[in-house]
Amino acid sequence: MSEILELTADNFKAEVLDSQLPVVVDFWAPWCGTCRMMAPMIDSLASELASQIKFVKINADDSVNQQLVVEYGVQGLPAIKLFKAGQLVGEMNGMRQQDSLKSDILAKLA
Amino acid sequence: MSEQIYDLAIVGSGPAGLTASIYASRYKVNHIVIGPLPGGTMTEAHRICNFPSEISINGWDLAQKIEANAKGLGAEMVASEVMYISGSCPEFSVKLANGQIIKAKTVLLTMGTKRRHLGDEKEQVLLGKGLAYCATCDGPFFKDKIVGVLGGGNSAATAVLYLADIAKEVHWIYTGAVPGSAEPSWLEEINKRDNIKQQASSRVKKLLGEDKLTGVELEQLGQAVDLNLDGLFIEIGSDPATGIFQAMNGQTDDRGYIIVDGQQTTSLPGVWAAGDITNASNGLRQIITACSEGAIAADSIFKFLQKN
Repeated sequence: MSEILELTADNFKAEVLDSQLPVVVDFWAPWCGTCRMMAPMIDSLASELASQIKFVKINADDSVNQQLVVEYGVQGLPAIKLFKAGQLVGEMNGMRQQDSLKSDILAKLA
Repeated sequence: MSEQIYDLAIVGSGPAGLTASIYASRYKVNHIVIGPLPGGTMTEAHRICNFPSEISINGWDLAQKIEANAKGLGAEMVASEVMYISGSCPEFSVKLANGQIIKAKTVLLTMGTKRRHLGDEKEQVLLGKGLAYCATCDGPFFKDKIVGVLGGGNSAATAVLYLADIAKEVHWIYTGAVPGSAEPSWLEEINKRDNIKQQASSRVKKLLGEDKLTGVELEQLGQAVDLNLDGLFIEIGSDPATGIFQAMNGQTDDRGYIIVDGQQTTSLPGVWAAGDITNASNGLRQIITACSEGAIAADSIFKFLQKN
């Protein structure tokens, strides 16, 4: 499984909002099959784009993260939110294929 | 890249594919299972009460048990979609989405079905913004909200019951005067719940809301009716995922399901099919029938490999 940094509400500001690199935030949950299907794609993109974009994960099922879930309007999983210079600049919901995932991330964050 | 040729490539990792793997392992058939998610569609089932060994279990947990059994017997599994299959028996090439090519003497197709979408122009925009396809996945985000479930079958009925425990109110929307294709046991449970409202003889004319779902416009007995909703779950059935098989010019029935015989063989030599993707088991399409077809297919493949 993924070696991508797993965030909580405690380090969200430091790792996402204050990040020098653009950030892909993957909201997921352990019981989300689609999240599990997409995990290898996200891992692969995280390795491929490591020099340009930071990838992090947030467990939407964890009670400590509920404020982030509400604040960023997560109503379905997986929910991918794209941040640049501390601002939310794009989002993707549901199952995606690797090619479209990569091109959409690069279009918003590169 | 490995030049290994497997005896069998199982495409799909739902109950049919995993059961076939269990049997193949015990028959010492050298095989590989290829699928994006062990368990497949069954992982989304909120409650399963008709699998013989379980009084009540959710789909995710049952899938994990079957996966553990297959892995425990030594199944080699790859988490990937398959793009296409070329070649013929005894040397098929299975091209994976991750670029890998698997070579195998025989192929078993168990890709199951894919969910139908509504076809509304706003569907993609509102997905994850109030619109959802999986109640067990996204239901927890609608605590104390008003939600709708569209569809009249068993998956819709179980979604309605699951959501009734979370949401304040659940509107069950279906086209018939009664939800004709749901099991009577589910209907009995639904009728006991005060927070479930049935919107019979209704179809969704359009989704309402711009960047977030606010409701639906229903056509109800010829009248246009607006229904305010925080969430809508689409459960309108599924179609067989036979794209790969059709590209191989395999034979399907008029609804697109792969035609198989009693041994689960298809119209293509060296290609078997099992589970929800086939026209077998009298069209029942349950976990138990997928397992059964997977077992029969593995047995049939084992006998074929012994002779060839």
